[in-house]
Amino acid sequence: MRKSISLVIFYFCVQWLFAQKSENTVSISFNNSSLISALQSVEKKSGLKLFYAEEWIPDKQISKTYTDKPVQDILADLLSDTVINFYILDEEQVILTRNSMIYDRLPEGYFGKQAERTVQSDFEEGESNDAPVFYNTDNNPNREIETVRIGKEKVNNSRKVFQLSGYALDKKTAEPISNLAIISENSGNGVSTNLDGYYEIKLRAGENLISTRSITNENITKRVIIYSDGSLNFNLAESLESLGEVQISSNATKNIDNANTGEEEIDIENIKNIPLVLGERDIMKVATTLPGISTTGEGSAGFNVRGGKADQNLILLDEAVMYNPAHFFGLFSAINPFTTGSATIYKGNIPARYGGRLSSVFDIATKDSDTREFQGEASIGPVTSSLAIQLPVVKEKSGLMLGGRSTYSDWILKSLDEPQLKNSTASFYDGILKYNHEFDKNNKLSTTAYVSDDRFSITSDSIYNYQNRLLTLHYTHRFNDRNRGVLILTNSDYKFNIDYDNNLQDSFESGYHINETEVKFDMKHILSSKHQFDYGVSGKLYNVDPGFIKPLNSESSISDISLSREQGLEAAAWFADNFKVNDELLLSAGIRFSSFTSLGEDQVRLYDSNSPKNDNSVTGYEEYEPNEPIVTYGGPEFRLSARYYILSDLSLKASYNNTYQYIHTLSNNVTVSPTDTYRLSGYHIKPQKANQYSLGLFKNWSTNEIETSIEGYYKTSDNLLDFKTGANLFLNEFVETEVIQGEGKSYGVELLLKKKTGDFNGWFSYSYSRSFLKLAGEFAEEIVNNGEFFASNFDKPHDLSLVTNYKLTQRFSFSANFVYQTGRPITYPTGKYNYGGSEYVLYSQRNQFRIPDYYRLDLSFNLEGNHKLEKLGHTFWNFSVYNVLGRNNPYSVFFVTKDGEVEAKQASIFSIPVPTISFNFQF
Amino acid sequence: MKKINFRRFFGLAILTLLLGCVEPYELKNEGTEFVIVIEGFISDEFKNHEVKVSSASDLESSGINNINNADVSIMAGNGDRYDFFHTGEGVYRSFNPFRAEEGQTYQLEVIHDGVTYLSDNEQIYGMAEIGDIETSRLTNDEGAAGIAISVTSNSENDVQFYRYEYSETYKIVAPYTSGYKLIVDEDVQNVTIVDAPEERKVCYNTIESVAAILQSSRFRDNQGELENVIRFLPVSDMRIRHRYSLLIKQYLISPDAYNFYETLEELSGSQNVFSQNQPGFLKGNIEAVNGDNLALGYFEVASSDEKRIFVDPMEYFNVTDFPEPNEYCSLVWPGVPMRADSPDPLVGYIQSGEYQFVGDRNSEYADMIDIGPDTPLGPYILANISCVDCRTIGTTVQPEFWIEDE
Repeated sequence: MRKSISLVIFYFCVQWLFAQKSENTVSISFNNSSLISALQSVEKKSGLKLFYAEEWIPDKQISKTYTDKPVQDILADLLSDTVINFYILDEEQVILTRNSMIYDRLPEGYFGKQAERTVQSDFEEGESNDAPVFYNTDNNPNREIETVRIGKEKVNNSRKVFQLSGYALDKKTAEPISNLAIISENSGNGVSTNLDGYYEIKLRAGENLISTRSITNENITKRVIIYSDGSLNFNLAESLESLGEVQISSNATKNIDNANTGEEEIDIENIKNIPLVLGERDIMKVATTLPGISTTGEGSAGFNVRGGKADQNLILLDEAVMYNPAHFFGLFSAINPFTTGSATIYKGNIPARYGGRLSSVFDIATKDSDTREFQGEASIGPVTSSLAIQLPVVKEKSGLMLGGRSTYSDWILKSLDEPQLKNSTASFYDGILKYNHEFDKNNKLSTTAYVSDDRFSITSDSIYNYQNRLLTLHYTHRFNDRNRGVLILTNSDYKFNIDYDNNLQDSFESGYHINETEVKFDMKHILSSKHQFDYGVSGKLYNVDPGFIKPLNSESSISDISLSREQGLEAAAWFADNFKVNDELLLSAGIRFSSFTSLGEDQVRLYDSNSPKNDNSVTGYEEYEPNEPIVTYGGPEFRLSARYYILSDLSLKASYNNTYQYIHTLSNNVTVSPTDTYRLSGYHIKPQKANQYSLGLFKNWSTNEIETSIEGYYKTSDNLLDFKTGANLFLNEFVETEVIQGEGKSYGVELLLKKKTGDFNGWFSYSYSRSFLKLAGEFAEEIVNNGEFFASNFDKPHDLSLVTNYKLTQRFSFSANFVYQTGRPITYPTGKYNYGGSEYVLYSQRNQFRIPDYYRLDLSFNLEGNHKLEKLGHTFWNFSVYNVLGRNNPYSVFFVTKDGEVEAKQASIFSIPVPTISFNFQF
Repeated sequence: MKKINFRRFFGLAILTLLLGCVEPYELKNEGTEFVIVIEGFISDEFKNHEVKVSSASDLESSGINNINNADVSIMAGNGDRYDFFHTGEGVYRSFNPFRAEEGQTYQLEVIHDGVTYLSDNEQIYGMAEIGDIETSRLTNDEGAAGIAISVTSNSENDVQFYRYEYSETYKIVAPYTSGYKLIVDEDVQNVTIVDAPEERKVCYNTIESVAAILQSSRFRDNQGELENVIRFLPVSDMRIRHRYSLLIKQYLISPDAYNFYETLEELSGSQNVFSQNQPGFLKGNIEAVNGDNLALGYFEVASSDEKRIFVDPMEYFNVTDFPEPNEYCSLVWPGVPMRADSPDPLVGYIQSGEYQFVGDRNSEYADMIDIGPDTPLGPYILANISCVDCRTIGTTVQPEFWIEDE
């Protein structure tokens, strides 16, 4: 009996001993030891044998102290943030496993448990999952896919779905890659990285095939075995694909998508097919076929946009202001079509970064020179020729572009018999030079220089000459994916001269000169996918020499006089937010603060407020020192616009703009004339201002092949300049005595249908618009038409243009152009009278009548050269007839007193069809 | 002759000559309102000054709408009043001769149809006199040679504005005058040759200038002296064929008056196709004081001076420079009647009054005409009447001021 009891006790003790032995406690401390050496120390101290592969053990430094802790706990702690699991076998051996866990029992229900399992979606959380994670090894040995193990198994694993997160970075620059698609091939589930390159994707436990997709970076696939939540970073190199050439149709939905109302873009490449006078590719003439933009006639150089005067358009060439963008009375454009990259016209909502004119902005940008190979283009026409070449300077980095145009009309005139023509001069040329240099992906510099010169006889004894000269410098810096800035410096110089030479004592030379220099800094910041900011500042210094006269030769008794120089400083700061409220609504909200300060040196006259301003009502003078501020004007300009998608291809846009203009044309001519001068606002002349409201519907049809839009606008303006009858503006120091500042009002509806692609393409534009002016000053000489609103000089209610192009074959295409416009208003005499023995006409009411309507048809036929691959260059012939109907559209009706009697005359510019042949060569 | 017009520099530009055109346009009457037109001018010349009053008429009408029932008077600043009476055709003359005094203001008053029109107070702007009148040979811009008559005006004013008028008198010497003429017997329808002893060869004609000739010293560095070409006659002009006289009247006017005339010319001048002045109502210095009626015109007070010169074209040109008479006188040799009862073509020519006898078939004129070989020719050679009888152009009475030799 005593033997059996002691045997039980012995077994008990043995059991007790066994248990105790498994609770092996150790005291150990580590001071900056590596994990491997820590494990080795534990091995020694505990007497347990550890089995593991050295490459599994991460490089981790341990500095910890354990006092009487069980080995299990120590191991668990040491391996806590690693993917190593451990299993203690037979109290003597410890097996370390990577990711996986060693299970020592089979799960419940392994043998035929029938449990009702409802179908569950892939990624429901909070699910009990006791199943171990299994995966296939090497089912496709040919695929070189890296296998990554994420996380480590846990005993009480209650989740089926885990989260994998991480960053996608560029391999070279370590910059985050945004909008990278990360797709799980098994489930088809995908996410994309945000602006910081961060992603989170839910994956099932076990094997997953994860791929990245990106245009900019390489696509990689990895096999990811998920054991628990974890992180995985992708370091992707840039994707390189060598392409011949890529054509990107990036503006397919711009018509309906863009938040700006009244924005038009001219396709520079395709305008070569549009028949125009004398074979010239003219961006400005094409602009007049768009709704809302018209001219007062063929011989007039300026444009009227939405019922605004010609000086209310800001014409920019690479951000420099161009004062006279036409040659020879507007018949030829001064902008070389071969060097122009893009032309955008803003006539509704003008973005906040532009300012200084009321009606529109014509933003013309030259294209960058090709940095890889030499290219050129030339055209030869009957009166003018153009040439443009692109030269790479540093391959792939910088290029130089040169362009030039000239006429040979002088040679034509000299060969004519008519003496008045023989002794006349008519010539012009223009040249452009652009250098663009890309330092690296983030820094780019470009500089443009432009010059144009016109010279022609206006009467047999006077020659008129004008010149434009522009210089610009752009430096673009890309700070990062979200911030980009551009620094722009421009200088624009315009002057004209008149040389009058007769045999008597009064030969003279007179002229005008304006020079402006601007510094502009514009920043773009992408805050998020919802907000994009555009902000900046600009400053412009004007120097105007309003006029001078001097003797032309020593016999002349003309004295040397010049009007005092005008100086002004125009400054602006703007901030705009492109706010994507949701998928349907896009708001473009901008505010621009502009100011103008008129600077001395000047002598300002003060007038009696009870009489009209003239030489007899001067009450005193005020003197200003050089650069002393005389008066400051300014205020906020709101540029608000919104686009709302009613349907996926139909959008509604609305906008409100208010603008200020500080520089004005001095002209009492009915239409724009080359001797118009520009003057700055000052003590007496207030800046012009305008408010425009517009609303439009935009729809694209047939997957963006056809764009249509209908837009209405209402514009009110104030302080518009007009002049008293018989105003003497030539070399007048005190122009305020001749000026009347009045109100304007214009409204209209514009319809545009455009088919951009296909064999038959073109556009149809129609606008109904009215434009009124009201001059109601205090005194009788400042009141016109009883102080009521009357039609302005460019009020043309109906304006219809049809521009079509039909491509018969790859080489032949045929174009037709039809224009119809209501005649412009004229002042018709209401009677005649006799004075000093001659008859004169009496004018009392202004613009009460209209000249006959204008319509014109032009046709052209284009022949492209053959399409052989290996040839010197590509040729293009254009045969066109301008004014096929031969209608002598009256440009003006005027009344002259000849030999004491009144006669009425009608003048037209082109009264016969004008055929032209021009030859283009591209190499 | 070209005057500088600082405001308009454009003639027809080249392209319009090539491709465009200027056509006559039909004047359509669109309705008139009543506008009174007053031309008032007084100078420091002691005489009966005149004021002209009319009204604007329809565009299509011809003739001038003279106003015959207005009350016209001028008030001087010192209280003097000069009344005017209507002498016919809208011309009102002062009852008494007077002259504008320097330093005195004058105001014109016209009352018509119950409306009173008053001008601003005007006065003599400055005194000036005609210095030298120079005649010279000149070639104008079109390459034509001729005689230019220029005037040097002197004034003490810093800035001078002048308006010139002239009266030219030229001598006419008919080249083909003979002592005979042809007259038509109406009853018998034939022509007989008779003596013509009356003076038909030498006549004189006087023409007044029509448009105002303006000159200003603006932009001129001339210290009070201003030279201006008043008249230019190309050598082809028949007025300068023989002795010629020009009476130049010079008025120194105010800048506002100058502006009025300049604008008047601009609004009515050959408007350039490419840039036209904005037309409007030209306001002078006359306004209606009661009512809304518009008044056109300017009341001017100016100092005046006049001077006459005589020009002998032979001092500047040779006979060969002038066109030959047969270049501007067409000679005609009518034929004989075809049959006995056919009308005599000679009758037709003489009856028309356009032609007259120059010589018979034996005269030197016979060689000057190109005739066909078969045309039967009549007995007499005819020429344009103006080349035979100078009375069709002028008067045989020599003007009082005419001095034949200097």
